[in-house]
Amino acid sequence: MALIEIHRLCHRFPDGTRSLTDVTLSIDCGEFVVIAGANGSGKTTLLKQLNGLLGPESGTLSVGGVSVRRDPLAVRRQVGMVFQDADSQIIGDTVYDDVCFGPENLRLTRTEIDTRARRALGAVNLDGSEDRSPHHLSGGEKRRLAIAGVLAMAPRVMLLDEPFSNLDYPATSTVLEHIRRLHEDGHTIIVTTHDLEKVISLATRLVVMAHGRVVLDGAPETAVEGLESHGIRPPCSVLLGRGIQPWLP
Amino acid sequence: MAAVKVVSYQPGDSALHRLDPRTKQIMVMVLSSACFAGGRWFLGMLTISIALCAIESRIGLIRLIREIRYFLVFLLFVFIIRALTFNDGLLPVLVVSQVQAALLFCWRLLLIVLMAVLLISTTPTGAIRAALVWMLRPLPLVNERAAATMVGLIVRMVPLILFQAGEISDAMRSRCIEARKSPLFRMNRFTIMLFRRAIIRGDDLVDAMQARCYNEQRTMRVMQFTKLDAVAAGIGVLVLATLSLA
Amino acid sequence: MDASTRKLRLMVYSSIMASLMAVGAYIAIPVGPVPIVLQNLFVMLAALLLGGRWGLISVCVYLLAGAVGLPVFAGGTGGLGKFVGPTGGYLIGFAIAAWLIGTISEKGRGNIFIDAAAMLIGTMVIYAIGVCWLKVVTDMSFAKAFSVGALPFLLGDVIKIVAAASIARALRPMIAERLMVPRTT
Repeated sequence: MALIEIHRLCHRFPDGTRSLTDVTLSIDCGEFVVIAGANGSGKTTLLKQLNGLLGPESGTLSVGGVSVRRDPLAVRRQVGMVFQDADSQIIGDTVYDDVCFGPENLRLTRTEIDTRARRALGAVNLDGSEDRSPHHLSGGEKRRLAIAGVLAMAPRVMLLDEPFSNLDYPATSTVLEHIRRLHEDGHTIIVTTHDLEKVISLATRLVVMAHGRVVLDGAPETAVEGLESHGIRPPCSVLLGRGIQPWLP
Repeated sequence: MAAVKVVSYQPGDSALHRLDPRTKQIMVMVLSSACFAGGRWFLGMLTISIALCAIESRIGLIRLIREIRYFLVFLLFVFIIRALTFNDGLLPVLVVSQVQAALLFCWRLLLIVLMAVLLISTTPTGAIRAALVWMLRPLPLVNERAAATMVGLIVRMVPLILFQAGEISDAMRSRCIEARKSPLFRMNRFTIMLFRRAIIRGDDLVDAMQARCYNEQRTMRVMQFTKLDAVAAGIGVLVLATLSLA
Repeated sequence: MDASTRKLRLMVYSSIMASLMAVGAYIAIPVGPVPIVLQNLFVMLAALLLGGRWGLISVCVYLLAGAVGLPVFAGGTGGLGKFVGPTGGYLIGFAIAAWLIGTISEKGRGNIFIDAAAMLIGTMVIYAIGVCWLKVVTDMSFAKAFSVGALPFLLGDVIKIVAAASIARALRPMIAERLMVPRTT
């Protein structure tokens, strides 16, 4: 059985608009899935469903055999989510406090929390910034702190919602490198984006969404061919006929 | 607007830094209240202790004064109000006894604020919150854990909201809000925008907290009284003892 | 929405209102010679939007943050000293006013006149406590305390009450939708 099983999932916002229709996906352990789609295609809603923040209207969603509807908390322990706006994700009033927030909620012992927090900050090269206020971090540092905060909870799956939005070139490179390493370390990665350029070369699978439906699902090499009709720009290298190339030089 | 200078934690390893946050918090509370009953001896002793603490913690006297420069203006205002007497309601008159009383009053306020600044600059906010939980626990009807979480959220939100307020006011000015003379109209627009943004930020925060498994029974910081706390408490009692001196 | 999510949402909103009060202590809208400070407007709005109980909680959390020394009071200061200082009475007044305004306006179910009356009562409470405290601490005569601590702000406060009533009308649907309470007209 796959790690994540989504079967005929539907979701509607309180005002009645449909945001997900009949989404069926199964994702295996260790996959690197890029979910691409135009604005409003339902990417973020799908991630929030995977994290149990929204309940499905109909259909089922389970992670590691546990249904999100039945036990959202157990699912959240396995699935960490990095939000698009790092500023509203950071909860602690210092860097260290923020990384501890998740493990504290899991009621781990203090020593375990400290070990995890140090390791997570080290993993995103934020060691030494423990006492800084998140408000004074740069955009890239904030994104890395958000990743560290999730990492400290030791999830199996990492969801990243538009991880490169509002980042400059150096910050994008660093975040990209960290995501690559997370995947290498055995995490299952799901990244949403409307801009495939940066992340596509790392992906093992490309899922395209439009109007709340999955319209394309396959290996990146083959799936990029049908992109343009769904409002997504294929990567430059593909347009130039050179196939998928790594974004980082 | 972003230039609002707020007192912030300065990492360090001095004795003042290493004191248990509860000790510091309780001493600040007790000594602050004692200030209002204290005479010259007490205030003098306290001033010396505060100065020594500032030097010991490497905050330094100059920085300490600079942190409260806005408060000093306010203090000057209070001093003038209290020192001046209006005989016949026209000419201000200086009376020596009243000036003395005004000085004493301002001295007290100054010390209370200085103690608060020392507390904040040597204690991480996480530790302050943990001490808060410990102190609020005996109170009935107070959910001390929720209260501590909320205080932490304020620390996080204030700079964000200040920044947002600046953005909104810039955006409104760039569309010529100043052409509207009515203060009511301007205040309405500004406040509605500010609250809308803040509420939406709140929604994101709820999601972020839930995504990281928020629940009230979280692991708390470990706090431990040490010998150092006993020493500090001893010094505190000595300073308090000078209350009895005239 | 389950009960724990609803409670978390109210907690977060209260913290946000408290943060807005702190911000309201820093910023002012320049109107004529006396700038309008937005803090008491924000206190009234917290009460109108969240009701008596959570309005009171948000003011209390704001005061608590100040009491432990966080720089949330006017001029970037904090600490217990503020409560015993000349302006301490207003701070206590905020808490009582928030509870009164919230409780009365909940009964009024969004009626704009009841809201305005509630705020009028709340404002009177703030000044009653604030001016009395100012008089005691600074040893001024009552008339002097009133002329320093209330008179210059009264006109601004009338404007704020009118503003708050219409602002609350604009923001209430947003809060109601999020807390899933039946909408009042």
